[in-house]
Amino acid sequence: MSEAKSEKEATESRPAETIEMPRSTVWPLVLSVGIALLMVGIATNLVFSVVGIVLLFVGLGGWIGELRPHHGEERIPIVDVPPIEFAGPAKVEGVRRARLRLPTTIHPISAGVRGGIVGGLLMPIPAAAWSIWAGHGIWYPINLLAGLVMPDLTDLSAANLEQFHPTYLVIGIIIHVLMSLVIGLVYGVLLPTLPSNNVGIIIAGGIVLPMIWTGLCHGWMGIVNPLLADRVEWPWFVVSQVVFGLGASITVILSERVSIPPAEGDA
Amino acid sequence: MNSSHHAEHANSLTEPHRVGMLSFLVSEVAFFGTLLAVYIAYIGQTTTGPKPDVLSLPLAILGTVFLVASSFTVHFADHALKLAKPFWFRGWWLLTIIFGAMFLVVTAIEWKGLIEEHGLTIATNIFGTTYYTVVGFHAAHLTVGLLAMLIILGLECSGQLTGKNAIGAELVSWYWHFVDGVWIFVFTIVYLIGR
Amino acid sequence: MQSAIVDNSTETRMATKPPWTVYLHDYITTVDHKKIGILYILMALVFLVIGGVEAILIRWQLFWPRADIIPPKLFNQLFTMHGTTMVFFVGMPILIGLGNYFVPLMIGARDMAFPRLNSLGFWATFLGGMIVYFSFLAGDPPDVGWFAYAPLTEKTFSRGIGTDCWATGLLVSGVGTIAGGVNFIATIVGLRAPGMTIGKVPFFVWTILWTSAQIVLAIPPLSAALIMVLLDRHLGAHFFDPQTGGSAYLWQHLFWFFGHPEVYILILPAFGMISEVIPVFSRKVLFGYEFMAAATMGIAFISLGVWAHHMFTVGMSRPMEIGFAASSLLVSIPTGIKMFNWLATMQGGKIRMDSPMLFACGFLGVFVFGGLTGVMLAAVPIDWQVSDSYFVVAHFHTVLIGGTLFATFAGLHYWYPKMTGRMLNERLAKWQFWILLIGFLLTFGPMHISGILGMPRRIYTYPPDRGWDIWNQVATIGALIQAPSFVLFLVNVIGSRWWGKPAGNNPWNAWTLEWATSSPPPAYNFNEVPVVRSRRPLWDLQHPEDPDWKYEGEHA
Repeated sequence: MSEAKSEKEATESRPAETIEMPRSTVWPLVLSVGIALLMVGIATNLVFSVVGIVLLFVGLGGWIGELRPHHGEERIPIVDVPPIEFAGPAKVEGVRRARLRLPTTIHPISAGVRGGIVGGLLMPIPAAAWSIWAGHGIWYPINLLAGLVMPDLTDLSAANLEQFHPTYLVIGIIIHVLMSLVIGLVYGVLLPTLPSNNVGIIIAGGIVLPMIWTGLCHGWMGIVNPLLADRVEWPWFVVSQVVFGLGASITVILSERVSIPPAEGDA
Repeated sequence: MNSSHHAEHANSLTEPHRVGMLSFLVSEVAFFGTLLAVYIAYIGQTTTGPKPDVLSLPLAILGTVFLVASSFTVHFADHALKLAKPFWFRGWWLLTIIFGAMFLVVTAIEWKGLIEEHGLTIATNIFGTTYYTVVGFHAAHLTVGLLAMLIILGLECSGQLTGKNAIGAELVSWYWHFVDGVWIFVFTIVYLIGR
Repeated sequence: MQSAIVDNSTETRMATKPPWTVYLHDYITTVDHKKIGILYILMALVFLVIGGVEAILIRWQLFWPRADIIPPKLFNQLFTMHGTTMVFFVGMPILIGLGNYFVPLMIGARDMAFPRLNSLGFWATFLGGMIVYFSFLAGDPPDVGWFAYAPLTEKTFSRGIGTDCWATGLLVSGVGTIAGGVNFIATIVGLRAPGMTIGKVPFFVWTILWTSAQIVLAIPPLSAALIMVLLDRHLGAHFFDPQTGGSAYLWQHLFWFFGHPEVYILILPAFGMISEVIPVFSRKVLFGYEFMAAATMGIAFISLGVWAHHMFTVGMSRPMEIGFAASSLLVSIPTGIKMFNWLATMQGGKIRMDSPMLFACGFLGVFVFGGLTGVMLAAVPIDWQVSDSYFVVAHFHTVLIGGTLFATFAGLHYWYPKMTGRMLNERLAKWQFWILLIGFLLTFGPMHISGILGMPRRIYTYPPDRGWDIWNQVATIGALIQAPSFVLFLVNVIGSRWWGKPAGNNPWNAWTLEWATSSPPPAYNFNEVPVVRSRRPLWDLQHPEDPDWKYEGEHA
């Protein structure tokens, strides 16, 4: 709806001296008494239910009668409303400087999400490379990832973990996609607080955030799933995180900055 | 419903009556979702008495045909009403009511068979409990739908389905589509997967 | 309010005060959202007194170890009715009532989308409460606990009428609640004033929208489960009877799938009221509206996936335990966002400590406390240790009283002038606040300790040698201290109705549309439908040289 149009409408409706409002009615009450009695009958005696059903239909019939054109409404005369006061018992003026918004241009939050997608696509490469180089085969990392939510996995032997398990593949992919998107989103939300130059973004996104994340994982995995923590090789974990972070950061830098509506007439 | 400036979104999805109907249908989805989840949880848990193989697939398919057909007829009826063709509206609307009633007749025949031939009631075993609850609540919703359709037909024939009431037929048709949709799930779960 | 009493037949009738039956008839048949809102609030206050008396009786019995003031069966009935009453007939009605009164006013509408359905919603809620309490008249109130675990509700174990009244009463009030939820959604989506995009609604309206979404998604599963209980009891079905193939475990899933979103149904509007009060009394805009809005949505969605944390002690599989613990912990993130945003709103503001703000500050302190024990309980090992103990009782009373009740008092003190045209007495309100806060801390603080010491919930008495005595005695004294604060509130509400200072239409110098009409508003709310350009339309009116919409941007 366009505002100009609505304002025009508001001015046009001003001369009206009455307003059409729905008329008071007893039928919804009758209908709800019907429902209540129907239920009371279940607890006590079915006679109540029979009365309830009768009332229910009486109420419904009356209600439908109200819905007929020109039956359920009445016109209420307008009385004058006093003008809005801005000086009640509390006369404290509003604080203005709180509305200032900084900075003036930022990378959009969506850039962070896109960064998460790019990082998520890049991350398996170092992980798989390490796994193959260490002789674990390509499925080992994804099985470990699935182990985050599938505690039974820790009972499996290392040899078994290197094999292909379709369920774990699906679960691992779901976890990876969700985590990439969420971390990308967090990254996007944090963006305005990061240094605004490109080097700053790369340092923050490619080194600082992955290290914080690794620290969190290192600390928590021992609690969430201790057996799993033994099998993770942390140097490679860090490498994968950094690849993710760099991918995300570069995607962000390549994104177009958007401007925030400027704060006018305020300081 | 009572302010003139809202007339402008009469044809949009944010029209209050449409929003209200949609949210009501969402609550109905939650209701039937619960019933069906319980049905699924109890599939194969029946130890004594009749098992789901006593259900008659041909009868269920016959009922399904009636319901799917009624979804089409109610759509044609609503369309005819919007094109201001009252004769066609009444025809299609009446046909929908007949199809719906036929479905109820089919259900009644099926239940009669189950009770008399197989001795299956709601109290017989866990299959009877869940089956009659799910199918029964669907049939109850269908009955309410038929009642609503009769009311709309009455209003239309007495020339009162105009102005702010005109949307009533559309909303009832939404409800009807929903009840049909629920049946597709009931049919799949009860008659195809659970049987 | 006046217009319906005015009868156009004679002028003389206006001069004499109409008999009380006219008022009664007026309220019983009304479809005006404001009168229905007041009916909801009055109903909730009456049930609050009843539920409070039940709580006092429970505490009284627990004062001494091995006391026998109240027999065990009655004790069970009291805590069942106390829980049921407070959740279904106090908490939800008072929030739905405030929503009913203020949502249409705040979005510049003349009424709710479906005024008659609104009336049905109230009466169904009210009659539901009547049915549940009918069990007292029938001499057999339910004694199965407010979550009524199966198979206790089966005919074998509950032979009387109590469980039937409980189930049917909640079914009927559920119809009313769903009607209310549907109505709110239709009103907020469809009836906003011109220019008020969905991103510019007052924050209370936004929280009511998401509470309604939860109502629509969570109440029907409860209705379905209650119907199954009734089918089991009356038609011999087998849903929850383990001996004939049913499952008692299933009831727990169904009930908590409703039960946990219910907690957020009760807290989201409270967040909304706090988000109205704090900016007005800090004289600043709400900090981070967009993040607050997203956090509300986040809570509404996450809350649908956390229910089984009520069932850790049942013995679920480990992936389920980890999943539900993780999702439960996740709720603390959006809630924390809100907490910090409220604090940031206050930071640098010109804070006025009027009674609404006092209650809001009480909310901030106490709710953090309750939230932290919630985080503890979300961790499976801690839950195993203290589940079903007084620690849990202390936790949820801290969030429900510290959260919902304090926020509701903040809202009631904030909006009372609008509803009646009179100010509440500030001195009484401040006494009420401090007595309530002290009594509250004394009641529920010690329960944490008795819970950790191993006192199970719902026992009707306890042996003297466990070290629980002192904590129970302090808690009971706390409850007795709380009681007068509610009396003060009722005195203030009733007295100020006639003797309060006249309020004018905008006593707090607030910025949302409900303050742009008279107090109390006329039946049609606004003479002309207002046009809105920002989240603070009255600020814009007052400061045409520096309006908010320059900052919010027209793209929102």
